[in-house]
Amino acid sequence: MTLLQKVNIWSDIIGFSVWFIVIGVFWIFDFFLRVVVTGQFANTVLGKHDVKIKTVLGEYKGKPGEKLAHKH
Amino acid sequence: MAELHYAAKPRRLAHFIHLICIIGLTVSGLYIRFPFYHGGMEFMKWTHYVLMYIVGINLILRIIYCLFTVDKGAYKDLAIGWKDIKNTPAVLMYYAHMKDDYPAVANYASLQKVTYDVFWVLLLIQGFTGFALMWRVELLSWCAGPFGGVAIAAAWMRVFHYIGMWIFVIFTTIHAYLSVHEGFPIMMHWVFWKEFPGLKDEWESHLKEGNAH
Repeated sequence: MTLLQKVNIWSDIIGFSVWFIVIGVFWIFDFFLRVVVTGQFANTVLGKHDVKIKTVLGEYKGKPGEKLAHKH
Repeated sequence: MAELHYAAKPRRLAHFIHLICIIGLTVSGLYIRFPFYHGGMEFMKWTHYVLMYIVGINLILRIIYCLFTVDKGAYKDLAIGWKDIKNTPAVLMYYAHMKDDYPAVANYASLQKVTYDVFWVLLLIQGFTGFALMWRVELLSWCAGPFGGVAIAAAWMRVFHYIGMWIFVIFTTIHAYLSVHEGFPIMMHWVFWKEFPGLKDEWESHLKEGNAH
């Protein structure tokens, strides 16, 4: 196998692996922490603004000055 | 201020065009690498070529807008200085849930600046490696020797282009995530052109402090 072929295959393996890890760590694990465990997403992100967001976990609504407002 | 000026319309438009192009280029590029259904190669290649030109023209117009129009000076937001480097551990601690308050020292956090700089530099590299696949002799003759010929140099350019795509995809995935959890209303403003009263207040206070572009 030539160096070019090896780099080609390893870029497939590393590219997909790192991408899946990033999705898992950020979009799944960290987002779960911020939405469900710490409530940071609703408190500090949505809480400052009059913003509504619907997620699979429920509906979030933020109003200025209010703390967590989480409706299932 | 009747209108929300957090991000001027040309900036939002350029971002939106870039976003659509990057999604299209990634899907069509991955299809060219791994044809995941039968008979779509011609369509995907044309899609890739067309989006390549659009994203390139968009980048040129964005640079012109950034350097020579009302938005001039905004490029300074992307400069990485010593205070950004010193601030990076605090930013990382904040993202890792080890620090409660966001350690803001500039309009963009240090890692945010690195990401945005990577985007435009990488786009130029992707442009060169992509065009090198089309115009091999014209673009690769000067550097083909060490590779062992123009054909092998082009094969390497294809691999570099592919690696560049992964860097783009991974950085974009992180950028999209941080924009959702860290600035959801701002993300809605940039991508979906929504305007929230809270954002307007924030923007006005930035203007009063004199640290917004």
